[in-house]
Amino acid sequence: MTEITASAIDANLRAQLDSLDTKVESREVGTVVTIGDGIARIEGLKDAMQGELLEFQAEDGRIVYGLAQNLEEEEVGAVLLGDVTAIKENDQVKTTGRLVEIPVGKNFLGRVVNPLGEPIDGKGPIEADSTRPIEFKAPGVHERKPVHQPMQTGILAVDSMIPIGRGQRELIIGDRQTGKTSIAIDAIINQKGQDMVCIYVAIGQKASTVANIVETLEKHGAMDYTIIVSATASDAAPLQYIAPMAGAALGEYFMYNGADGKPASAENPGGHVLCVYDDLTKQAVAYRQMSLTLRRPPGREAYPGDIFYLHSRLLERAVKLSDENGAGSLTALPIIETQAGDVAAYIPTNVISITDGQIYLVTDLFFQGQRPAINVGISVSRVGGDAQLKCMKQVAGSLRLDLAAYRELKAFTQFGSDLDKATQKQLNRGARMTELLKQGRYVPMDAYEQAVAILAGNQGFLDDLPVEDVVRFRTEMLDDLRVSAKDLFDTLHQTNKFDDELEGKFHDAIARFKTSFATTQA
Amino acid sequence: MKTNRLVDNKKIEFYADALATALHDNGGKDDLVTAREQLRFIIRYMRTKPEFIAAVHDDSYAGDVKNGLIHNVFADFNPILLDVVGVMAERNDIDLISRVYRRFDEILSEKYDLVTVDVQTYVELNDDLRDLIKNKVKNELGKDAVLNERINKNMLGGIIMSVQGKRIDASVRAQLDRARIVLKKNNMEVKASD
Repeated sequence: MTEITASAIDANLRAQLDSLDTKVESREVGTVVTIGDGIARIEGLKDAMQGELLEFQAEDGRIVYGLAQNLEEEEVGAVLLGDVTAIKENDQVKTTGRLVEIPVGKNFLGRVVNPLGEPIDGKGPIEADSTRPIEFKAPGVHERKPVHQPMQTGILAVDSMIPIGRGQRELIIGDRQTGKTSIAIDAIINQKGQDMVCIYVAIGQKASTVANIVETLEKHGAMDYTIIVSATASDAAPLQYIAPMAGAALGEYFMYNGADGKPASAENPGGHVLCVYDDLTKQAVAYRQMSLTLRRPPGREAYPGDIFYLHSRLLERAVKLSDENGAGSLTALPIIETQAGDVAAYIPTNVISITDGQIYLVTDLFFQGQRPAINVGISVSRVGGDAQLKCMKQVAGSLRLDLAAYRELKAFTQFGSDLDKATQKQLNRGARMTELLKQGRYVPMDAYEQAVAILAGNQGFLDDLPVEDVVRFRTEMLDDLRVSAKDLFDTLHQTNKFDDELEGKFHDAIARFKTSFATTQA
Repeated sequence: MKTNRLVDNKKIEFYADALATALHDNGGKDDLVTAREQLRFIIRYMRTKPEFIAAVHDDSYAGDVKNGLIHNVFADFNPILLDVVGVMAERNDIDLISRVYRRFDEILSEKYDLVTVDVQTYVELNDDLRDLIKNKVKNELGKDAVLNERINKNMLGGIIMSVQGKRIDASVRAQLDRARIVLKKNNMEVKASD
């Protein structure tokens, strides 16, 4: 520990005072011509830069910051980030020469902040370790490496069929009330003890919804490693616009720095971050509002021409860094809300094309009781397969295709023709495997237990069970095996794969359990 | 009616030059300085009075009515200035007024060696300080400075000068702000190196 002495304090103070720049600054100054809807048009800022932080000085001396957006011949269009009502026409505006930055650091963990990094949870000020620009250029190709580590969500249907890797961008898409946020929250809860920092960015949501999410995360002990960035529906459009970027900036601090807070390198590994953007549809709407009030020409669905670029540059910041850069990762789970299942709308198609796959949730399945209501047919993970656990790949490799074949067959058999034995068997298996994938909220499953559950299904242990008993069988079986077959799980952890011997032993253990399992019809 | 920007530039040049020449021929540099402030007041007034702008833009009023409106609202102002602004309103060129003001300011500097310095201080300037500022501007820009003084109690002390679109902020408030940023940054660096 550093010894604190009077001379040390004196030297420190002197060093700090020496670093004070007493030079007088000369800055370009302009005047607010018009202001309204959080947008100001400013005259006289000829040298303002795109995205530059502008300082508005209100008549009463208050300072409000803004973001230069439109650079025109005679005027600059800017969005205000603070108290919009403080600024009036004829107020002075100063360029700062800086980009918008937010404070970042470890002390943000467990806190709820607004997109400017200011705490809004009533737990007092946050001491920042550093600051980071909210707009940051994504790393280039040579700074990255392929996604290869799994990011387990704890959701059987996702981890088995749509695996997500650290550094991947996986879209969660679906209509309202289909369980999009639940998947993201489950994924966050499952990161406990996984050495992962989670950032949940709430955009345009009700404050009460955000409060519920905070409560849920606290209840499951997930706030210790989570930061919530909240721009609620009552916040100005510019704040909703910068919220995901602020979340990414907070996440990047952990990824680009080691545990000691120093820049990550081969010797000082960077952290792993999971960023949930809930949801980008609302961010796009906020950006559309800003753009229209800035008088930018509207395009399809009245969105501005650079709406694709807005989302692509945000999601490109999701990365798996190379070993030389500390091997940290930032996994992005953007959420998009569709209207009446229309995935061909402008924003959904844009984000689908940017991300490395999507988890598609449908209302019909949700109300049929299939939860999570994932439509396996059009959900996909383009890179996560490389990051999937080997044992999971062994047992779930063909699950997606099997279930797709089952659904096709099921639709066909609705015509009521007689079925041969093989078809009957396929339908039986399909119904039970579909049931097996049902899972409640906030009960993440261990990855190896997931693999064993699917193994039980593959080996036909579910085929003679009533469909409604499948989930109970899975739960009770895993509870039993956790104790009775602990050594088998230990071996699976070590080898990470099923060999013939291990598979046989698990088969025996499951068979033994099944003899004691009481079905509801028995 | 929208015209191309070359036409706008020519109009701006014409209005600004006509205004400056007429003011100078009529009342010399004093009139130029006074009219500049009055023109600035008109612009600021128009920004805060949307109903006034709407009236000047209203096609149902004839040009001479708009001209008369300008003369009536700003009756105490320099008549030459009102004539020029009135013609602008009459010809539906009132939207160019900010640019005419900027060009007028440039003409004052280029043709008449006059630079207006907006000075904000916490307490009123004395003659020594006024001379100091004027001499400084003369040395730096080679022009005569006209001071436009304002008291600003928010700046805590020091001086803020705005000249030719640049603002030199030597207020105590700005110095404290800069000190706060530097000390905060130093503190973060010290923490990071521990």
